[in-house]
Amino acid sequence: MSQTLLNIKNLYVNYETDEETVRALNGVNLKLNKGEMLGLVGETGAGKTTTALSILKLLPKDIGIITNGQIEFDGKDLTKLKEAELRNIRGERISMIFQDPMTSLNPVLTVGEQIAEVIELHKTLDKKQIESKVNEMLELVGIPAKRKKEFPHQFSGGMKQRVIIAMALSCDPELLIADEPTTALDVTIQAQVLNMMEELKHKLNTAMLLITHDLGVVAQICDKVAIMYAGEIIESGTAEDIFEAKEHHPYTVGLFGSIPNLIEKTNRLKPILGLMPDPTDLPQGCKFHPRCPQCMEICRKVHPDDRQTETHTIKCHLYK
Amino acid sequence: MYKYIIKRLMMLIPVILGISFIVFSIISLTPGDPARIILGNHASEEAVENLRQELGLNEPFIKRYISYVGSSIKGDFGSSYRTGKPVFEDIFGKFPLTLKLALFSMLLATALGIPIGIISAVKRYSIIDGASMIFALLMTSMPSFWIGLMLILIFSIKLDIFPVTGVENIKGYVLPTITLASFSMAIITRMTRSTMLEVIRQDYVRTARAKGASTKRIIFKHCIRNALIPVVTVIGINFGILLGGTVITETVFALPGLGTLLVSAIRMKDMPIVMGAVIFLAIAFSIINLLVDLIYAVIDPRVKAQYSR
Amino acid sequence: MIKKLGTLALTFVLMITLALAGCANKTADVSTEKNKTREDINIRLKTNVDSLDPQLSSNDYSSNAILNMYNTLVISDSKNNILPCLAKSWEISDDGLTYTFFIEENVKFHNNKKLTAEDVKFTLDRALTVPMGSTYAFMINRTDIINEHTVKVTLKEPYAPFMEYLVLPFYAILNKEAVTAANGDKFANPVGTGPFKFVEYKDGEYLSMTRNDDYFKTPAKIKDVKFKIIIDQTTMTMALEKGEIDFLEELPGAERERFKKDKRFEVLEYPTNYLHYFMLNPNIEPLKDKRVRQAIGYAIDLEAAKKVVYDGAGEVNYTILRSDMFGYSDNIPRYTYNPEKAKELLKEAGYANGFNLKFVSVDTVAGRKAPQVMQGYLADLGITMEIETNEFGVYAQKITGSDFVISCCATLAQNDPDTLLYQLFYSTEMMNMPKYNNPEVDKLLDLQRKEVNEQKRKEYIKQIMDIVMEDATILPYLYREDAATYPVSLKGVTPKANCIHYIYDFYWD
Ligand SMILES: Nc1ncnc2c1ncn2[C@@H]1O[C@H](COP(=O)(O)OP(=O)(O)OP(=O)(O)O)[C@@H](O)[C@H]1O
Ligand SMILES: [Mg+2]
Repeated sequence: MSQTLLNIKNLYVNYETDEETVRALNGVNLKLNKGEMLGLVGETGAGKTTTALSILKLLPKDIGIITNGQIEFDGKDLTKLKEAELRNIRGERISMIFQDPMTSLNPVLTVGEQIAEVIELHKTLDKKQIESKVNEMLELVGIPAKRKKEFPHQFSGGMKQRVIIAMALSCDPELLIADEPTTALDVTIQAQVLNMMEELKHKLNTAMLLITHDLGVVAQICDKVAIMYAGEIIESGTAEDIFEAKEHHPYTVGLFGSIPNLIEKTNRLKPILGLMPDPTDLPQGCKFHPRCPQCMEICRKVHPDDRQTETHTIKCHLYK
Repeated sequence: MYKYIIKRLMMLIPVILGISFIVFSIISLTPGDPARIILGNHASEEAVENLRQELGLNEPFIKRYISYVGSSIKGDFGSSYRTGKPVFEDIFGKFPLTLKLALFSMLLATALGIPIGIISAVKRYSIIDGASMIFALLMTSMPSFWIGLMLILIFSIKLDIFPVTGVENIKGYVLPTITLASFSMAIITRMTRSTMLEVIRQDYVRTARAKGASTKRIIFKHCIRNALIPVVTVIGINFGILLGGTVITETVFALPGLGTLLVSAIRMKDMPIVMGAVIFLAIAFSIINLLVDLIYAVIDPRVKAQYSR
Repeated sequence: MIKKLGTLALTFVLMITLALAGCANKTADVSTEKNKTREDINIRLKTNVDSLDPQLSSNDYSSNAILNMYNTLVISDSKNNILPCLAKSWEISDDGLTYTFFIEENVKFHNNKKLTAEDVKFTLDRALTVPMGSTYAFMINRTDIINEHTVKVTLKEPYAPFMEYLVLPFYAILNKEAVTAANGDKFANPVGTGPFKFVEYKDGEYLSMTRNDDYFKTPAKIKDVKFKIIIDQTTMTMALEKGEIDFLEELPGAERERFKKDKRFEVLEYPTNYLHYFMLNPNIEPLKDKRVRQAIGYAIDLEAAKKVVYDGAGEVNYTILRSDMFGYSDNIPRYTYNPEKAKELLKEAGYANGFNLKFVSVDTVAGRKAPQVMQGYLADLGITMEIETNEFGVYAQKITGSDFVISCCATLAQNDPDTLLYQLFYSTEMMNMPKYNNPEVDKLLDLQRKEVNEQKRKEYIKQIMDIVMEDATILPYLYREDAATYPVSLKGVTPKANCIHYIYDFYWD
């Protein structure tokens, strides 16, 4: 079996504002091996971005607080690292593509400057070498190198996303976190970007945490899938486990509607009756029980444990 | 770019016509007879009437305005009713002092306000932040005459360092500059702090952190320029206001500035001076605005793109 | 939270500064020793100079300052006695119509030209033509040159206070050649005969002069004079403490105690001839009824009002004329505080429940405070008074246009009552702003003006006072008290009822 790169254990994250406490993550367990691609799926507000930000410790200052759990990266617990040590990991070993490409680039710096910055921060190269690396990265994502002197506003949304990808990849990270890298893009560009990322994965052997709403994408490129609900991973396993196994968490069933086969690419998440529970006031027992079509007495009271069968994990009282 | 500048300067013409018409109307249509004011209570009605005739005050308002515009296009802005000197001789006589004070105090306000604002934002809720916000609150809530008088009491009378009145040497500028700067500085500090806080929350700052950049680098490279964009406007506006002179500070330090000239001209209904000063200030204000916009373009490439069209 | 902290901090800063301010005034160096050898003086000037030509200046502060560069034919001492100046002597004809002045012979203007009868005639002739001529030179018929150093002035009618007029800056003797060359320029370099020569005037900053060493008398002891334009009263007192100015007038009542206690300064208080008064317009309802006007007179406690408006400075007046003025009589109607009587009069007039009226005032300290005090007293009678505070220009236009129900004003009285009474009560006088029109009073005013017999004249004046006080269109308030303040080592300052200080008399010791 391949080596574990990222191991999130029992992670709890709260957003504490003056008015309320949002319980965004409630015991997340997630494992990712080197060179593997993990798809993280879930409704909006499930805590996907929060998970990603926790890894890099980029949660909003003084508001987003890790209250419990560990995030082991290459054997080191990231939650215990000092800011300076983290800085060496960020951008170099773990990099992140953010959800919104429109706002993720600094409007007053040229895209070239912004890509160069991450190289400058982590590699000891002279100006010329940095320049050529920047050119290389831009070409890699399919943008002519001469456009590096331009500013973000001169780029289209898709091109911005590519710039962000170029930035994220320029130090050959071991782990790339991509938070819905394609939602802001139109369909054809989406496909291009995804193809490109897949290519990169093979070329650079980067492990990837791909956060998405798009089951087709997951089915297409992910080795593993984790399904998140109200700050918990309620089901995880290999792509086959999720798309082909018989037993599923009722939420997954609802999410998929009917489980598509792996070749069908365009199925999107289907709406499930009801709403996600209010993260400031989570229900007792299984957090999905108010919406669960197969809700039992026990579901209302007892929080279910994981049931593991080989690679497939389900958190539900249906399966013991 | 040049096209843009020229376009902006051309826009001054309707602006000045509009402003001058409004000011002319206000002065003409509000009560108070310049001739009576010039000659005082003791002058005879006949003498006042003669002077009215001489100054053309008996003509209908519109006719007077048109002839004013006509002669000012030819460069003749008339002479002060009070001193009889050509209008711009009076205005340019007062302007250097006002300009110096405005420059000094804006420099002071900017040099202190921006760094303090940045530090407050970065060290939000720290002692420095609390202290500087209270200071800013004080400066904006204390009337400037009071600040001026307190400065005089402490630094002129008690400590005997600076003079009370007069600007014969550089020492004389210190207290008025501080007085004038205090309000702008408070505004700049608060503005910088709030835009800085806004910028720190932006996605691109998170991107920069994700790259592994240090806090210092993030602030200097990614935040300040973005945060300064709205601050530049505030600086511009404040500078414009200071150029109009600040009557209160001028009064407290007995300084002969544009503000006092303008206010006394309004009181005396000295139409040529009021009009001249207003037109002069409108031009100065527009030029400052233009400069602010050009500085914008330097700071913000998105704006620059618009201007080059 | 932040707001609360702010308020707290504000109070704190206030306390500290006040504490500092409390022990503040002991360090600035205005020491007597240093002053003793000085030859310069800095004097506070309250306003801009409105003209360097004394006949064109309508501002007393300004014209009193420039007077130091000129001389008048005669001057007055602190008791208002008339003393020679450019006129070394004079003769007045028995009928009081002709005044013959004998001019000093060795007087030179600042442009080195000799003073001759020509210049005096030029000055007096021009006085008739300038805008203020109707107020200051109405009595002059003609001026004739008798010889190079003698002029004869003929009046239209005998006019007892004529000599007092000649003291005023308006009658400063001008140089014919210079004034002709200036051609109406109010700021042309002034050329006088005075003890000081013009150096420079900077609008809003200062007016500076230097000693005229060719003065026809002993040259002044002060060499350099600078009038510094300081409008603000607080700044003025601080500049005095700091030694940036050496002399100021009109020290506010509230500051007097402080400066009196301060051993470094002299506070010279003296009554002036500036009379402050209220004007009631008898041509507008409900003030058409004289009982209503009288009621207003009785309603106000002037002594108490003085405390509020002038911090207690000044001499309350009930009689228009002051006891040291010619024709003063104790035995005339007067309105001392008597609210009962006021109510009774209002009731008689049919206004038992009061009425509404508007006070037209001017935007000065006293102009704001005085009507407020009056408002309070009138409210006791059920009268609702609205206050309209105007810019000076608007105020001047309104009062000269008689466009008010009730207002206030001030004027410089002479020791001879003629001018004052004429201005206030003669039907066609411009300064009679309530437009009081009483043919009887007009007749008596004309009679007293021509009357050479002092006893008879006094009787006429008494008759006038009886009528006008009864009619109550003018309610006198007070004679302003001035307080000149200066370092103790400055000598030669004497009280001046007309507020004209001659720097020629000043010296350091
Ligand atoms: N800064 C914040 N302050 C308070 N609550 C927050 C903050 N950021 C996120 N949350 C809350 O935390 C929960 C998880 O949010 P998160 O952004 O991780 O969701 P997500 O799964 O990424 O959703 P999406 O698919 O819409 O991106 C949500 O309920 C959200 O409202
Ligand atoms: Mg998200």
